[in-house]
Amino acid sequence: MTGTAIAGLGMTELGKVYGRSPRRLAADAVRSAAADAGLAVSDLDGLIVSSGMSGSPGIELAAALGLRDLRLLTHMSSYGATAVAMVSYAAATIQSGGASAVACVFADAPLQPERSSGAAYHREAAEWHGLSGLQAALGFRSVNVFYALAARRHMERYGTTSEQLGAIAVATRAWARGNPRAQMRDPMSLRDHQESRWVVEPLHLLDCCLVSNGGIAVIVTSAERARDLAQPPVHVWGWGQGHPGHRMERGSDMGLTTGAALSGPAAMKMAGVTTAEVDVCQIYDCYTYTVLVTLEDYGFCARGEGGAFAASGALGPGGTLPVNTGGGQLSAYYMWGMTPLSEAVIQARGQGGDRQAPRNDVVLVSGNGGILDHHGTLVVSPHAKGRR
Amino acid sequence: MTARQTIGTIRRDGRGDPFFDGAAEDRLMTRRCEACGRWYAPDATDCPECAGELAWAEASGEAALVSWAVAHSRTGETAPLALVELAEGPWMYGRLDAVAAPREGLPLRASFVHPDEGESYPVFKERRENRGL
Ligand SMILES: [Zn+2]
Repeated sequence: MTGTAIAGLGMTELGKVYGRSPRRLAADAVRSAAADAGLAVSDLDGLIVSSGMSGSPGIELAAALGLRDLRLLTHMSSYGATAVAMVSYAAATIQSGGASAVACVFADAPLQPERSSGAAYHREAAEWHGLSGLQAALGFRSVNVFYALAARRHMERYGTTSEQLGAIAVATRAWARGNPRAQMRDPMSLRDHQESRWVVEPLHLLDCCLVSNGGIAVIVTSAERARDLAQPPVHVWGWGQGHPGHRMERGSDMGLTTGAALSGPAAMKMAGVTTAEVDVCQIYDCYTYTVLVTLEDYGFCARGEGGAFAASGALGPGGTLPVNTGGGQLSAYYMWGMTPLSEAVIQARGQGGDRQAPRNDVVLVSGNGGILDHHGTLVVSPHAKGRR
Repeated sequence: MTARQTIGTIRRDGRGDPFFDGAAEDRLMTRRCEACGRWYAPDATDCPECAGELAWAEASGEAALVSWAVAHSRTGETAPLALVELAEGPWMYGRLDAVAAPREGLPLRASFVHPDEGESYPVFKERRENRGL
């Protein structure tokens, strides 16, 4: 066994895609990923499924795809950290001989016609019930509030500014302009960011990710097999997870550090690389602030210096550390952890077109779930591990 | 000054009733472990320290500001929200009332709203140590 690789990538239309259930979108993504790899769907002997807040699709997806005699079938969830966790589980299973070609898929359809994006994850009612109802009544009506509290804590502690968060939004949009799949491709200035309406202070609208319908799948095989398939193999070098279990009480570091501090170094150690050797980052960007704190936790800059690092222009086209080269969740499409993973595959293959990063030998991918509660990291490369 | 986001009517649901009973009498009720004495937020369900049972207990109502945010509705109303640290240690989500200059560590005190309709509930006001507030 010479390691594992991502051999296929399948993406449905993403964004305002109506009329297809999450299960149908997932099935379409798996079929497309198999075709991309040059495999028949019946060649798959493993399927790992993840879903959005609706909980669908589940493992019944296997039947919808007509898959028979699978050796691995499961549903996984660590929210936004799931995508990289699925790939690492697939890779470990293949490495130990438990399966040979595993599809990992995410699909969701939270957007409905005639409703705003914000409505997809927002609570509204005239009467509220019990303690959880009280919290929503007081104004805690979407996840935006909890990230705003975390971001504010970082700003207070380290002097991080809204303009520095804006630099992340602007860099991400600049990358999105080179991605035909990106939902938002109009130019964005720092002023546009500053003048965008407040969602929850200190977060402007342009600090927050999009909402998208769609499905994305990848196929993981042995590196050996991937070499004979249709696409350039994207070798899996290392992975890690981090679930800090921050207690909500005196002394907690909530908002100041995340599971990335555990997950990132573990993944880089397994991959045999340091931050200095990482060429491109695909960082889970549900909010601009998430990118900032993740880069700090990974060690690309010192704690508290993420704002200055972003404001230096390092993350955008032409910068020293290309981050979210496809436009991320902020400007391209929101497919949970599949957003950074899919762009990592594209970059590692060298298929980024106008947005291809100048070097792609080591690509780092992150996933973040809950309110910074769960983290996963993956390191991939166009080169077999140890043969760079 | 923008309008405040409406809070709406709060109804009890059988699970957090002692919290609302306390609020009606201007008392902040929260959770405390019967076995080890550790304090938790009102919506906590377990003591991860010792696996003991949680009971309702009256907190002092004194708190300090950990972080804050202002939610904006699409129609322009705002809600000043906070993560506060109760004097007993646990963190709790709440709404701020008339806090002009929020900062980390700002002393707060629970104050209670008694609407005509529905349950009473706490909000957090600035605590000025020397004025007996
Ligand atoms: Zn206890």
